[in-house]
Amino acid sequence: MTDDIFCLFGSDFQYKAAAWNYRNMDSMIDYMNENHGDKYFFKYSTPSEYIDIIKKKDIKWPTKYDDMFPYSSGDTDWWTGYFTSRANAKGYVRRASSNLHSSAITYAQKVLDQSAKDEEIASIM
Amino acid sequence: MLDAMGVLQHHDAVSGTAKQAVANDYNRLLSNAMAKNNAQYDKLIADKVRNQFGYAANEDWKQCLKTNSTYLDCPVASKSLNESWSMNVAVHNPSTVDLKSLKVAVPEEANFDVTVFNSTSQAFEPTMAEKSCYDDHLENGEKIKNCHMEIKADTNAQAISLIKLTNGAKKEEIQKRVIPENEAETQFIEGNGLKVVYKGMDKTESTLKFDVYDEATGSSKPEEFEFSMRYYESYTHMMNNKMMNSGAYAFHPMEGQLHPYPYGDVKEVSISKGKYSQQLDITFGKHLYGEELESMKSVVHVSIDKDLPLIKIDVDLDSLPL
Repeated sequence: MTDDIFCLFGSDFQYKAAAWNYRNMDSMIDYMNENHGDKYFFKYSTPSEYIDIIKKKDIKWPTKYDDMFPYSSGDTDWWTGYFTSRANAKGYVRRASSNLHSSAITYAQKVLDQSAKDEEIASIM
Repeated sequence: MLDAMGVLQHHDAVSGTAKQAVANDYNRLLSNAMAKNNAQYDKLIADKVRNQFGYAANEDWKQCLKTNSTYLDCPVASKSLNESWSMNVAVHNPSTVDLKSLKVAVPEEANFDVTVFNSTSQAFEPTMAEKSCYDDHLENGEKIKNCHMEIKADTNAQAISLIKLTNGAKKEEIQKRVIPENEAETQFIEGNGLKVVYKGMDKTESTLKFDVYDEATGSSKPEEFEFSMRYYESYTHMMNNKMMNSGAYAFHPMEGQLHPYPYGDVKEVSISKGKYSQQLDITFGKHLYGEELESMKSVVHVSIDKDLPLIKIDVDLDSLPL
């Protein structure tokens, strides 16, 4: 859609010896800029920097209708186990999520309460 | 809480794909965060109850969940049912929907008189309350009764209601009736503009079939839906004798198993219809290599929500055979 290419580096466990990764990336960036600098410019970037540049170009994006889930790493090798794995742990996360939501609302109501004392608000914050 | 919940969003945390020791640590994080948070939250609930109802509890408030819980998690578990006492329950509704009914977990032997605080009359007044129970199956083959009371009481959005449970009322429990196979299609539960008819089971597929009639559509033609429980065998082998595999592998379906196994056969379908609450309970038994595993049962509860136009399907799933 534009001339900007976002190139991702790394994956799980790829930065255990991070200095080596950066040395390799430095070399690749230097090589490309020296030898193909007439066409391309390579640099370290971030997702927000990339999105800012794309946004300035005011592109009309196509709508994507399909779904990336479930993952698979082969024809019959679906990563579906993790939707149901450790059901108690998943239940616990949901319980904690409810706990966070209902307590946060209660704290907000207290902070908005004009009759609340300063020390009550301090103990929440 | 925000830190702990943030950490739990990692792609090997809530997904359940970390190694066991790491998964344990995630739960420790959550548990510590909730313990700290609840000290503050409980105090504010006590404040709210005092301000709103003029009621100061003579003990600290203790928490208990409305769903996914039994009375053993609730303060009522520590009370002797042979003595006379009453207990106030403050119900916090943090959602943005007004609720007309609530549910509390109670022991089977408990017979409570339930009253609800009316803010206009400033007094506790009688209300509709019904207890229903089902069997929970333990791994050693024992059964325990798991009971809940469904209570008619308004709890407005982001507000609190107060009810009082008084021990020593007349014994009353909604009676369950087992539905004989030839009576499927005539049995239904209804409420809140919805009617759910149990249509029986597809034996080869172990699939339960239902018809739903929705008053809101004005149509006399039902929507059909089916429900079944399935599982895959997972890839559990160790990388070597010492190292435990990460959950990413332990919870990976076996390569080549294209279709999931059905959980088991339907052992019993029962219906309970009280004056206030109605429910279908479907008990699945588990078979393994043609042999029935007596200790493994799962119960599927079908009911209609009192507040939202929803059909609720709660599953009490016992462990899968290894």
